Amino acid sequence: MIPVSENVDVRTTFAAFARDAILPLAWSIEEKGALPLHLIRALGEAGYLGALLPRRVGGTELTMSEFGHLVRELGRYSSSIRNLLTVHSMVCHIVHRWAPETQRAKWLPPLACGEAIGAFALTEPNSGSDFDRIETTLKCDDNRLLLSGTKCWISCGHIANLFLVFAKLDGAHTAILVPRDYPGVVVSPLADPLLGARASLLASVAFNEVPVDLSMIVGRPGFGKSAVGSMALDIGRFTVAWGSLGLAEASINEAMQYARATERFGKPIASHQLVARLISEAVIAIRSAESFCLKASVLRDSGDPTAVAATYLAKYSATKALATAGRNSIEILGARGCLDRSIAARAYRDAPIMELIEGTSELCEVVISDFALSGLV
Amino acid sequence: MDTRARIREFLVKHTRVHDLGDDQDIFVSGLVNSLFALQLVMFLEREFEVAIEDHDLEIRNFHTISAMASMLARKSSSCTREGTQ
Repeated sequence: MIPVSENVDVRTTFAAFARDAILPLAWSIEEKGALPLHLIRALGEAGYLGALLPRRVGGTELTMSEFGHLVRELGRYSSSIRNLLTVHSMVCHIVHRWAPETQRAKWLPPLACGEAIGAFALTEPNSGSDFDRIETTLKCDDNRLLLSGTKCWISCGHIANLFLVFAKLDGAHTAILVPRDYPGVVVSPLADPLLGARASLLASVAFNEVPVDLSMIVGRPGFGKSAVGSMALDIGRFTVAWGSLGLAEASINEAMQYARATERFGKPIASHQLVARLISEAVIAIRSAESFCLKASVLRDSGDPTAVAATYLAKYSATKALATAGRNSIEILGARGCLDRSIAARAYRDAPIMELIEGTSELCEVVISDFALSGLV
Repeated sequence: MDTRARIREFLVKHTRVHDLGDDQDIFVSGLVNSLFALQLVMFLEREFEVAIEDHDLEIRNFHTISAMASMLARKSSSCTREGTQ
């Protein structure tokens, strides 16, 4: 399925940026587990950190189709950079959509240009996929509103200036914006290296009776999970889908290039039938995922509510395609694929993480089944 | 098709409950979850060409078909008044 209008120039621009700015640093980012500040600045200057925000606040106002292609190109070379764009865009979108005007005026311009980086603070030690079990609270105490709790596995927690925090106010799910520099906010970077997406800059964030106020609440009490959390995670799934697609493509392309150019037993590796099966299995998975991603983009751009179901399909299929591409590419490349710095190895390492974040594959299966039973997919 | 009927058609598809009353609380009765709320917002905005804003996010605006229809009528009336000023 091809979108009605494809802005090929925009895609070429995204690809050039990713190739020139990210590719030279792709291995270094993983090896050091760090995102270079100048690269984050470059993303901001290119308008990519404000991709989903209106031009009147300094954003780039990309369509979802354009945004998907941007994420595809960034994810091609770095899941860590894609992660930054994911969580930052989730916060941007929510602030734009649901924050009170005072918070929008304060935060949208710096978020748009990257002067402020947003992070999504939902997961807790006792609550992963189970949103309802969050224990972070907002409590009134002597005419003050205090935020207390601990969040963990927070992507870009190292560098975030603004947290979108999910808590309960009198038992009602509530989302609130909390600046990093507020008293009582303690960020603890995760010291252990990750399996993949090694520069995700994960941190635990403790909120120790942080004094906040009602004007910082996003949406309304009671809608923190439904309107705010669900909408943010929906954007997150969309970006993980497209980013996984880009990396899966890069991985199998690396393998095919090698398979064409290298001979074993008197002919190119690519000509051996079982290698052909490895290639076709990956390519079929990737092109299937691409069609889901494209459909999700078109539906999102038209405001169609079935975009939610389509995005689940895209995320599930693209992350599974990444797992297939990574594994199969390593088999094709042999020892070369086992080098840490190979694209295939990066795909293989990143794939399990992509399946976990923004809704595990298992949760996706449950949700997709429900959509199918309702005739929505 | 009137507003309530259009909303009911959407809800019936998602809840798979065919005898949904106008004043049946879709949240209390456990028919819908948080993921559905996202789709509901998108449906109402696209179908009725309105913008759901943060001040609209009250359970009382969404918990029944009647409540949603009333909210949409208020928003439509508000837009009309602004347009004639």
